[in-house]
Amino acid sequence: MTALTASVALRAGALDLEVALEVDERGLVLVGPNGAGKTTVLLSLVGARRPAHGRVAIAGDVVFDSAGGIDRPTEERGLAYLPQNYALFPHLTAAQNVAFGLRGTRAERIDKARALLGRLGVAAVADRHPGALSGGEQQRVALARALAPAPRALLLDEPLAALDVESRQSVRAFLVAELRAQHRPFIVILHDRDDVRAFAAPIAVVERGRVVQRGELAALEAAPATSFTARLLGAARPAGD
Amino acid sequence: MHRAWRIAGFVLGGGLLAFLAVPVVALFVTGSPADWLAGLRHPITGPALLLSMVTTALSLGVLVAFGTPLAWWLGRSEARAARLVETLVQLPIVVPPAVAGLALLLAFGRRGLLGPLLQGAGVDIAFSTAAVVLAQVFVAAPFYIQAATAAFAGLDENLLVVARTLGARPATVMFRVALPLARRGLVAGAALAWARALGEFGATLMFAGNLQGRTQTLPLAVYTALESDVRAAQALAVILVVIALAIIVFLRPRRGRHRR
Repeated sequence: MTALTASVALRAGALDLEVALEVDERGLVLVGPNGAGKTTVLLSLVGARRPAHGRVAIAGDVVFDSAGGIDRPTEERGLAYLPQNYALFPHLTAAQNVAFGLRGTRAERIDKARALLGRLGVAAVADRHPGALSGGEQQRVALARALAPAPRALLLDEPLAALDVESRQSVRAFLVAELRAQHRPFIVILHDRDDVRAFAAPIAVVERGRVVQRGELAALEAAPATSFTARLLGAARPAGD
Repeated sequence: MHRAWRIAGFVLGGGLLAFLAVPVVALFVTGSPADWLAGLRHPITGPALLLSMVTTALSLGVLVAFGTPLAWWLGRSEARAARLVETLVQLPIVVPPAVAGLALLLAFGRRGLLGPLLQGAGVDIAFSTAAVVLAQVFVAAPFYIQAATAAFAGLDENLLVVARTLGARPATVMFRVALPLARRGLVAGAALAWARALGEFGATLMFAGNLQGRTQTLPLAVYTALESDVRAAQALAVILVVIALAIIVFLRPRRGRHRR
């Protein structure tokens, strides 16, 4: 079953974007050079950019359809968005950040937020502000916040880019395991071959606003359609492999 | 040679500093506290002080209510029109206050552009307390709008988008994310704007006149008192300087706590 289907076309500055994506419960990895339009795709899915034409449906529920005049506001789409810089609210504590998207009384929301932070292994930072957290901690808090309102799908923009080399591997393992455990469709933008391998999800390559290739990792490795894909995946093999 | 330059720099910079300081010092040392007390009891003082507090509070309220949405648009929009408006909004800073007063008179005065319209509605603005407020809003607006625009422009769009994805409506995003994060800039702009409104003289004199209890604010009272009682003028001046100093101290750059 297809969990999320989207076709979006829009122009923004030098970017001429026209992509169609299908995401199942295994998720989707988006790769592509800088400026290819990957982030804009995610922003148009959540409704922060308005496609000139297109259609976005989540589990069959149409949240945007230019032909049908449907354009549901961001807050009603049920999509979680994790930007590259995590965008934690700097004036709120970690627990308050997570509680932001929860319903209920203040005490209930904070309790739930603490429980969620505990499940993601960062209970200790609940009362700290984002500025006092490490990159890995920030990512977990942001993930907890994104999961809190039980979104229908997760959109993650380079979730590992802001991390240093030491924490990157453990955070990646954690994120992959967590996404698998969630059974929620996701789209994740990546730019590192090791990250792409770790996610082991279908891949779409976006270049200059178009999907130039899509498929499983093995198929892309065997026959990369563009030099970008070849460089991204090919270089992963040790010399002489 | 090097040393000579340093001395020259010291003399020049120090000279300007002294020039700036001496008049302020003079305000304080040429009178005694007893003089100021007498000045405060002068019949011109009370009404002017009261009027200044009331009108500046009103103009600040008007400015924040109308200026915040405008600043939001200026700070968040990428439209070319926004850049143009952002420039035009600065105009009152460079226009001489007397010119601003004349322009207000020609716009809202009895024979002004909107005069017939206002009279038809039974409103007579010129030379009323309302005119004082309008003059203050006119000259103070750029200070608030500029600071608020910069504060809003500095907000990370991702914060606003994420807040929406977490179920917050635009108004909730405004009150729980945007305004708290822009607060420091908004407060600084409001303080500067209020100080400018408090000091307003030229435009008020032209557009509102100098009527005790109705349009005679503190700066106008200083000007008026000078003709009869220097001590009263000086007492009022001391009040204005103390307020100005308080604002500067309040606005001085501070080390951020846990902000960003």
